Amino acid sequence: MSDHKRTKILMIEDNATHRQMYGLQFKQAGFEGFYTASTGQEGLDLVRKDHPDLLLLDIGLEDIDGIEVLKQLKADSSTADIPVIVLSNMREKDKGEQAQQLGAVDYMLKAKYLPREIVERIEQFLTSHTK
Amino acid sequence: MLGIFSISGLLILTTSVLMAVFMFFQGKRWLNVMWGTFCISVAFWGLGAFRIGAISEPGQALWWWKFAYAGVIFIPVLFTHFVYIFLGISRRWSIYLFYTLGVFYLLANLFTNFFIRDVRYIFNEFYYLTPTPLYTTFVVFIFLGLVIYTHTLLFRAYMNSRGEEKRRIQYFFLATLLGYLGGSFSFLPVYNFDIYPFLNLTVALYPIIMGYAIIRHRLMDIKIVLTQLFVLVLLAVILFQALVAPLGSQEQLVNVGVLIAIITVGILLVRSVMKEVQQREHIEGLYTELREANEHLKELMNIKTEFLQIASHQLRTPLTSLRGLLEMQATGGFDSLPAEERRKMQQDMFGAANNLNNIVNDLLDAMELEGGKLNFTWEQVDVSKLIQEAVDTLMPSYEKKGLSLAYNKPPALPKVEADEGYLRQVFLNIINNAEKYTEKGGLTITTTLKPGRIEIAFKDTGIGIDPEELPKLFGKFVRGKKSALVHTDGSGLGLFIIKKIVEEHHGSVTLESEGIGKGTTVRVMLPLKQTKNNNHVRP
Repeated sequence: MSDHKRTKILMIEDNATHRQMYGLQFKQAGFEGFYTASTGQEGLDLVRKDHPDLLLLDIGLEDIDGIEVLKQLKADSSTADIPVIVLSNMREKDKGEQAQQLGAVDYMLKAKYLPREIVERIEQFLTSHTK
Repeated sequence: MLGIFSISGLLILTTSVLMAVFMFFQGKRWLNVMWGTFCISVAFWGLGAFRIGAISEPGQALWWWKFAYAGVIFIPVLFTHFVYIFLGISRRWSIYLFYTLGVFYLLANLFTNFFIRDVRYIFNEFYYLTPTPLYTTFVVFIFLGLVIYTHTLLFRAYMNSRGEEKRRIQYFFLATLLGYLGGSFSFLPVYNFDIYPFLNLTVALYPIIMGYAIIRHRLMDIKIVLTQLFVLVLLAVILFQALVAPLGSQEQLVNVGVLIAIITVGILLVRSVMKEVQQREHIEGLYTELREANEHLKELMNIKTEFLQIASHQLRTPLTSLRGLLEMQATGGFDSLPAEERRKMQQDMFGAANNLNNIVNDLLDAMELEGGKLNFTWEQVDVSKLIQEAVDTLMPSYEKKGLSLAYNKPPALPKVEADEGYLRQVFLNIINNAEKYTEKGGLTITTTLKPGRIEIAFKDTGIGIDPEELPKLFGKFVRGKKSALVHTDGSGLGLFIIKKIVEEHHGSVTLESEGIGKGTTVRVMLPLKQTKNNNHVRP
C-alpha cells in the first residue's frame, strides 16, 4: 500500500459530496497524491498539466461529457497512455461498453461499491499495473 | 321498342340519380356535394339519350338534344371543380372562367340555334344532332380540353401519392376511362362517323365507381370492382337481347330464363363479394389497431429506457453518498476528522437523504399524474392566500441567499375552483425552483384577474433559459443545460408535474425567457370554474 503514497490520482467528479467522500477515503488509505476536478474542462487541463498516474472519470459531467473527455485524452499522444477508470452511476450497458471501447481500463458503477471497496480495487489495479 | 341507345340512357339516368341522392345523403362534405351535382349533370344526358332513342319526330328530338346538353355542358366543368377540391388545388379564377363558359354555352344552347341547330336520322333508329361551329368549340375546348387537363392533374397527383390515396386515384382513372371513353363514342355520329354509340352503356357505371371511390376509398381492389362490372354488363346485354327478341318467341323466353339465372347468380356473387370486402375491412381494421398498439408499445419501451437511464442515475447518486458516508462513519472513518468537518459530512448525508426523498416523491407524483387516476378534491380555493403561504414557507431560503421574494397581492381576487393540495404543490415547486436558479435579485409574483380566469406570473432574475430549450422543458426528465450546471440534483420532473397538475385544472402553464442570464417568467392560468366542457385556457 505504501508504494502508492506518491501515486497521483485525479478524480473528475461533478458531485461535491462524492468528491469529498472519495477524497477522504483515498487520503485515509494513504493516497496522498489524490486530488479532484469538478468539471470536464478543469479535469482536462489538470491532466495535461500534471500527467497523473491514474484518472478516475465520471461520465455525467455538465460541461463536457465524460465520454468526450476520454476521447480527447486518448486522441492526444501526450495523455493517451494514462490509464482511465470510469466511475459512474450510469448503467454500464449505456456507457460502460462505450468507455471501454474508447480505451478505459475499467468501468465501476459507484452505487455498487462502497468507497472502501473502490479504493481496494484501485490498489489492486495499481499493483498489477506497476508489476 | 327501346334501342340500345335508349336503354343506355335509362341506365345512366337511374345510376346517376341514385348516386346523386346517395352522395347528398353522405353529409355535406364539399367532395360529396360536388360529385352529387356532377351526377345530376350526367342524369340530364341519361334522360335525354333515353328520350332521343325513342323519338321518331325531328322537332321533339331537337328539343331533347338541347335538354340533354343542358347537363352535358357542365359535365367537364363540374368534373374539373371536383378534381380541384379533391387535389386541394385553389385556382379560383380558372373555376370562375370555366363556369362562365359553361353558362355561356348553356344560354346559347337553350335560347339560340348557334349551339344545336339540326338533327339527322341515323341507324334507322333515331335523330342524332349535327354540329355547329359553336358546338365544335365546346367539344374541343371544354370537353376534350378540360378532360385532358384534369387527367394530367390527376396523373401528376397519382405519381406523387402513395397507399390509399394512390388506390383512390386508380379508381378515378377506371371510372373516367369507362365514362369519358364510352361517352366520347356518342360524339362520333355527330361528325358523321356513323358508329352506333353502344359504349354509351358504360357511362352508367361511371358515377357508381367514382362515388364508391370517394366514399369507400380504401375498401377493395380493382379486381373486385371489375367482377361487379362484369355481372352488370352481362345483365345489361341479356336484358337488351330479351327486349329486342320478338315478343313471346322462344328466344325471348330463353333470354328471360338466362336473365333470371344471371340475376340470381349475380346477387349471390355480389353478396359474397360484399362479405369478402367486410372481412377484408375487418382485417384491415385489426391491422391498423395492431399497428397503433405496436407504436404505443414502442413509445412505452422508449419511456422505460429513458426512465432507466435517467432515473437510475438520479436515484443512485444520493444513494451512493448516503451508503458510502454511513459506512465510513460506522467504521470510524470520520473519527480523525475535526468536529466541523464531521458535521459537514453529516450534513451531506442528510442532504443526500433529502435529495433522495425529493426524487422519489417527484417520481411517484409523476407516475400518479401520468396514470391519470387522480383523486382531486374540488373546492373554492383562495389562490392569494395559498401563494402567500408558499411565500412565507420559502422566504427563509431566499433570505439565506440574499434574494428578494415579493408578492404583489391584488386587493381582492375571486376564489378558484381547484384542489388546494395540488395547487399548493405547484406554487411551492415554482417558487422553490426560482430560488435554486437565481443568484442575484429575486422573484416577483403578480396575480391578475382576467375574464373567467386568474393569471399568476412568477418572474425571476435567474439564469434564464435558452429559447431553443423552452419547448422541451415540460417533458419528463428534461433539464435545461444551464440549470443542470447550477443545480446538479434536480430530478427533471418538476416542470412536468407542474404542467400536469395545472392541466388537470383545465389551466395552462407557459415558460418565457429572453435567453441565458435574462431571467425566467412562469405564467400559470387557472379558470375560475371547472366545467365539464372546460377547454384549457391559453394565455
